[in-house]
Amino acid sequence: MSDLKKILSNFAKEQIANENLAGLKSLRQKALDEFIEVGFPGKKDEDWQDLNIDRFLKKNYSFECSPTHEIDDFSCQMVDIDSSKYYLINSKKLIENNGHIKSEISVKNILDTDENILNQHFNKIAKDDNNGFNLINTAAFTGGFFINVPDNTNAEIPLQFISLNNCNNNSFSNIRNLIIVGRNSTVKIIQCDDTIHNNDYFINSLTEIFVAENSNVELYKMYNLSNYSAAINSIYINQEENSVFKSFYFELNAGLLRNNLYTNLNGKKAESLTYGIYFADKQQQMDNNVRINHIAPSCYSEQIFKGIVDDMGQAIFNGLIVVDREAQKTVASQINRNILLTDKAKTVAKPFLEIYADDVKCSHGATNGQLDENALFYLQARGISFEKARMLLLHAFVGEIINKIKIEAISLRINDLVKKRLNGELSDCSSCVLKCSDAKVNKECY
Amino acid sequence: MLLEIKNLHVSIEEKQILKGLSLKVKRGEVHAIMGPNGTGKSTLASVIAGREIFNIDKGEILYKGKDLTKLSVDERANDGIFLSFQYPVEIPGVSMVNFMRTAIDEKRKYQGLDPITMHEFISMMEEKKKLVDLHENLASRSVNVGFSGGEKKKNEIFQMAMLEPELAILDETDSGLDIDALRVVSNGVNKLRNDNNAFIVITHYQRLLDYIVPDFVHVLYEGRIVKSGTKELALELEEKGYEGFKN
Repeated sequence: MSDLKKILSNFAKEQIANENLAGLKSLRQKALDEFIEVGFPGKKDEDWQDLNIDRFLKKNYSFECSPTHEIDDFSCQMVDIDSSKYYLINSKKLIENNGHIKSEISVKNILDTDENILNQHFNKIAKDDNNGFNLINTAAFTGGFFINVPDNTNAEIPLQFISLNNCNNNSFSNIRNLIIVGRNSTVKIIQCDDTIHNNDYFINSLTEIFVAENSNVELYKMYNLSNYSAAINSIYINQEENSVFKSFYFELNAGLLRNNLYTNLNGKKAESLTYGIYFADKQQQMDNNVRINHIAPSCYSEQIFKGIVDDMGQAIFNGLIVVDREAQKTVASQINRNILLTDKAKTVAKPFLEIYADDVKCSHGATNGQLDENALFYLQARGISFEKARMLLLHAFVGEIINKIKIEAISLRINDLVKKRLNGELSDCSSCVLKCSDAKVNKECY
Repeated sequence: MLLEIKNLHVSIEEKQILKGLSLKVKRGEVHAIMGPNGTGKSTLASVIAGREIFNIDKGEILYKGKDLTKLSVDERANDGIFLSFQYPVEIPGVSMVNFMRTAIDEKRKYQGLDPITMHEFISMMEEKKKLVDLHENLASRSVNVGFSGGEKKKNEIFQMAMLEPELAILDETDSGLDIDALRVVSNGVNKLRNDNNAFIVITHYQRLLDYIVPDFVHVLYEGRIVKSGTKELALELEEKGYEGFKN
């Protein structure tokens, strides 16, 4: 057994011993047994083979934490936006910063959730994807957000959930979130994972989201982790009739990032809209794995992922749309586009369609390219320097996604972060916003 | 002398295009360059603007008395050279306003001036839009995206008006224009003519020269200027065709 596998298993055993809920205790135990059997996914698994994750699994991680930093402004936070803020500190402790929350919505630490609710929802969608990261998450999670939006709730003001790691040591965390949205409700969620220090962090986060009939959910997820961090972010979504789930993924920085986005369209006329932008430079890897299951008829799904790959960075896109035999009148599309800035930048794109119904409209495509030389010359011929022209074109490339954000404060903030990222200000060091003046830190971040 | 080209030889991928071209342009002058397809008219325009895909094998280009080839594309633009493209490029996602404001600020930076204020910029834009009868709301439009052929050419002249060049090269600005658009574009150019700037108008047809009346007409054939004259030369060309100028 590898060192990390052993350490994680031992840690899971402690969690299992401390688990008070009988149902959850046996679920954790079962997951641990399976984890010990299958281990981490890797080169042997088709869905994971392009990702070089071993380099992060070989590091030494601890479960102890020496926090050093107070909660303060940090880079991925939406400071200017009117929202209710919740922090999850070091994957354990929930802190509320309650502003305008509608009283009907309840937000708790998942550890404090009612047993009945857990029995009904916990692991119900994620169990269909039994990879090692999900198994160890179920066995060993230490905390996470539980959000319950009752029927007929219209929350105008977004909820902001921030998972913040301020341990000044290497750590591996398992975060587990559960979001339940009742019927005829509207909610907007901003979620961000951030690290304060530049230690080796491994974040294994799993979120299950249930969206009931006629509800409308928007999710904005931002990643701005240090170059030494790896994150596995798995989101499993069940959508019922007439529901809309619209999500954005802004993958600004991380050593390695893997997004697993699995959606089941269970009720007819459900809509799933998924948009992502990512930036990979140095030796970063950004891996988006998207699966949409069209189970009910007359549903709509759309995915657009666009990325810029520089240096020796790598971008991976695996997309699968499955249209069941019953899912007639399905409309589905999937697009992945990359701009490669160097000869050593690498992309892998695998868009797949599996269609078992006969009356459907489906499309998919992937492109890799360089910046448009004619456009560059045109801009330069108007006096714009090569560097500025390049910035304008790169910004325009991802702008297609940013323009889809309907909340102005979020779109301005993302625009700003993207500009900083393209200028190289974020990639120097993810926590530069905190410590930009500290030359030593910035030097270390390289 | 604003521009002086001496014995210019230019090639692309071993293929010789310009074979000893010479041309002198003074401030206040309009020069028309005419010639059949494939004789190097657009190459000349691109080389002056600084497109790097061409090799200069021999000869020199002096602009304001300096070696122009030492300047990058953007430096040339900021030093007063403007190329109106035969095929203006569509740039999705870059708004006309952002594009023009960046261009103007780059030029001002080159001249050691502070960036333009939003107020100045907007009133300047409104004024120059009128010059070429552009009614688009440029704030919401990406550069040339969704523009008709005529609008694209009007947009080129609009940009020229904004940037106030000293040497403007119009590369087949008349191609694809109907007679109304041709009149609007030509009027725009005529209003911008003054004693301090110069124009090189590249065209196939005499038609454009009824509107933009040149001081000199040059016939470009197989990479060289084979005949120069006044505006009457254009009429002669229209009558006899290029065949008569081969030698």
